[in-house]
Amino acid sequence: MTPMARKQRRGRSLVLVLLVTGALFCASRAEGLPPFGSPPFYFVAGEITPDHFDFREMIPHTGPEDEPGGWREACVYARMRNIKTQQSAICDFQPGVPIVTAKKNRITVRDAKNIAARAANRAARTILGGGTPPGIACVPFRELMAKLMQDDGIPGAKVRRCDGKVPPIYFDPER
Amino acid sequence: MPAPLPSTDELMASVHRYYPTGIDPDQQHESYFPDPQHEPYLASPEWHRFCDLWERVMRLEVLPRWDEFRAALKKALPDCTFWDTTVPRSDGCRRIRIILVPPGTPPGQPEYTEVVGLVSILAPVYSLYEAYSRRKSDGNYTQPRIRWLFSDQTAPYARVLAEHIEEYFDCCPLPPEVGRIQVPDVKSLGNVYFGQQTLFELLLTEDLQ
Repeated sequence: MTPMARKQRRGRSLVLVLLVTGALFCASRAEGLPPFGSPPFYFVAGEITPDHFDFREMIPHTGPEDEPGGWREACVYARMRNIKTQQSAICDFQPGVPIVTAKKNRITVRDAKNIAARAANRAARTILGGGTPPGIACVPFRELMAKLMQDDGIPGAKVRRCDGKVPPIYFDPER
Repeated sequence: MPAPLPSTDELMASVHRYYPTGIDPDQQHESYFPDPQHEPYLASPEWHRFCDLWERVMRLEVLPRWDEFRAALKKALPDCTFWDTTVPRSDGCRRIRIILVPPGTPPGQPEYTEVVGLVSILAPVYSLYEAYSRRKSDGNYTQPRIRWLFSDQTAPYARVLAEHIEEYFDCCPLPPEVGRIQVPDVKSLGNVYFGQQTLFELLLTEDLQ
């Protein structure tokens, strides 16, 4: 093979590599997936704060001080936006937390607010950053948020859809 | 003796009485600031019936012997701590957790084994499971490991719990083959997709923990 032919061949394979990467990149963009190697949190607009969680007492804690019991709930209607794809949707969620548990003594409202906000932000980054379009992200978001709250010190925490019995707080990162 | 199991048709009928047919509560909200009072799911007669039922449960008009049952259980198992984790409107059942540590044990033990009882408010059925969790290095606890078969340690407690549930509420265990039947046209407000929920999840709970 002459040096000229070898050079041509190398050029051709370079074009091929570029084409394949380009196609992959476009495909991932078309489905709203982040390009390779980018940090997932880059794609979620805004940050929810503990003040967005207005926990109300649904079941009072009665009985002895150290006996587990009681229940608080808050409801949030949040706009979730993926700032890369500009897709957004409103997702409502109602976190519920016990007041006294056996594993961790008393769970104060302040603890509940902080842990709920942290769990919501982490869950949104994970689910939206993983490429789930915001329109169908609510169910996996709530599921993950509940697990994160349980892992973060609230055994028994639940997150489900708002049921209209707790006044909603609206959160929209663009307003 | 447990009460006879209602037929699958009867169980389906109870489900359709309390969950609206054909409405997916997770459909996207249209407006920028949606009004929860005007959502089709929350406006349906079935949802109102479900809420009314829960109010009657909390006033002890449904499962009226719940407090009596808890007191009797406490007496029968004096070496356990009890936790009533009934949450109105979130499940179709009342839930009692028997934690296998003596009352007054300080929180933060290295591990917890629990026997959990679910008593449906929608149909005369119940279910029991075992939950185990361990303290992690950061002081929080692992996700509970759920088991449907009881170990030698928990079996005696499960037996006492089952006897008490059958005596006080006249219901029977929901067999797995019936519990697994999918209901294609309803959904609770829990974290599952429309059309994929089973009789177990609708009559009892989809949130096992």
